[in-house]
Amino acid sequence: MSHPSALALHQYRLDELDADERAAVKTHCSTCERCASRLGAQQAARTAFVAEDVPSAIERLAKPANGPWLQLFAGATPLLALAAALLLAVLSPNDSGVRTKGTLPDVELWVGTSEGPRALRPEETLGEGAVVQVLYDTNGARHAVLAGRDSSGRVEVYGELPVHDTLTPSPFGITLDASHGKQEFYVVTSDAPLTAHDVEQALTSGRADLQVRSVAVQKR
Amino acid sequence: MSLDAAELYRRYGDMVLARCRVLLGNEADARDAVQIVFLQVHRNRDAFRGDARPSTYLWRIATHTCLNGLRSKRRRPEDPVEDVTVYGDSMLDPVEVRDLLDRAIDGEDETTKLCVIYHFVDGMTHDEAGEMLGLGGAAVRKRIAGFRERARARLPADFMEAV
Ligand SMILES: [Zn+2]
Repeated sequence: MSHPSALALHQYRLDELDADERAAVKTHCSTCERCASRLGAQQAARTAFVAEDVPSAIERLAKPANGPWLQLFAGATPLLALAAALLLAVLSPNDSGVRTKGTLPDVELWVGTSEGPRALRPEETLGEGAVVQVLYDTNGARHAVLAGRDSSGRVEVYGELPVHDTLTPSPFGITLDASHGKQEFYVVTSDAPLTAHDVEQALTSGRADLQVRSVAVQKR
Repeated sequence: MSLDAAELYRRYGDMVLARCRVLLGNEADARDAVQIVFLQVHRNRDAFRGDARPSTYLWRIATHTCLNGLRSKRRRPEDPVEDVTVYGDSMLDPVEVRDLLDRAIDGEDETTKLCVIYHFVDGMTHDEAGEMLGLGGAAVRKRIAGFRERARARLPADFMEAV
C-alpha cells in the first residue's frame, strides 16, 4: 500500500480500523521508516496530551450549569468574534465602585450583534436568542467565581473563572432564553479558594471578606 | 456512541489538535480551533447518525473549521512558520503546507480545497478523500488534476514536483 493517511494512522493507533485495514497499516509501518516515525510522533503527542487538563470550555459542555436560563453557548463563531474584537478594542477600565475590602474585580457584559460584538448599553434590553458574554478582570485576586441571579432571586454558581489582570472574556458565552426580567451576573473574588456556599452567602447576606461586582441585563 | 464533547475530547483531542496544528501552522490558533471543533460537535450532537467513525467525523469538522480559520485570518508572508511537524504526521513539511494552503489553493472552490488538503496534506488516496467528501474517487482525481494545472503557475516548480 502507499503511505497510510494521517487519519488512517490515528485510527490504527486508536484501534478503529477493520482487520484487513489494520493488517495493511501494520505491515506498512514495519517496513516504512517514515510512517513508523509519523506513528511515533502521534504516540508522543498522545502522551503529552493526556497529561493536560480538559479545557474548561469543553469540560463545561458535559456538565452544563443547572437552571433553565443558562445554556452554555455552543456557537463558536460569536465566541471567537468576541475574543477577536477584544484584541482590537481599547477597553477603558470601569470607574471604581464601592470598595469593601481588597480591589474589586472589573466586570462588563458584551453582546453579539450582526455588526460584531459590543459592550451592552445602559438600559438596553435583550430578547430571546441574544448572545452575551461576561468580561472580567480579577485585579490581582487569586480566586474568582462566576455566579448569576435571575428575576426570581435564585442564585446560581456557574463555576470558577481563571484569574486575569486584564479584561478577559469568560470561557463561554451565554444564549438568552425566553424568560423575562432582570438577569444579574456576579464575579466574586477572593485570595482564598471560594466554595459555592461562600458565593451564595456573599450574594444573599453579604461577606465582608469577599469582593463582588455585578452586571445585569434586562430581558424583554 | 456517545457524543459527549468532553468524553470525545479525551479520546480524540490529540488527534484534532495534531490536525489543526498542521493546517493552521501555529499553536495558539490550533488550540482555539480545537475548542471550536468540540463546541460544534456539542451543538450538533443530535445530527450525528453514527454512520461514520467518530474519528472520521471529527477529522472532517476539524478540516472545515481550519479552512474557515484560514479564510478569516490571512497569514502574511513574513509570519514565521512554526515547526509543527515535531508533533505532526503530515506528508508535507510545514513550509510546503503553508505554500499549499496560503497560496496555492487561493481562488479554488471549497470542495477542491478540501480535496487538496485530504490528498496532499493528509496523504489520502483519491478514494479516501472522496469518502470524506461524499464524492467518488474519480471526481476527486479530476479536481486534483485541475488544481495541479492551475497551481503550476502559482507555485515553484520543485514544489509541484514534490506533491
Ligand atoms: Zn510509509
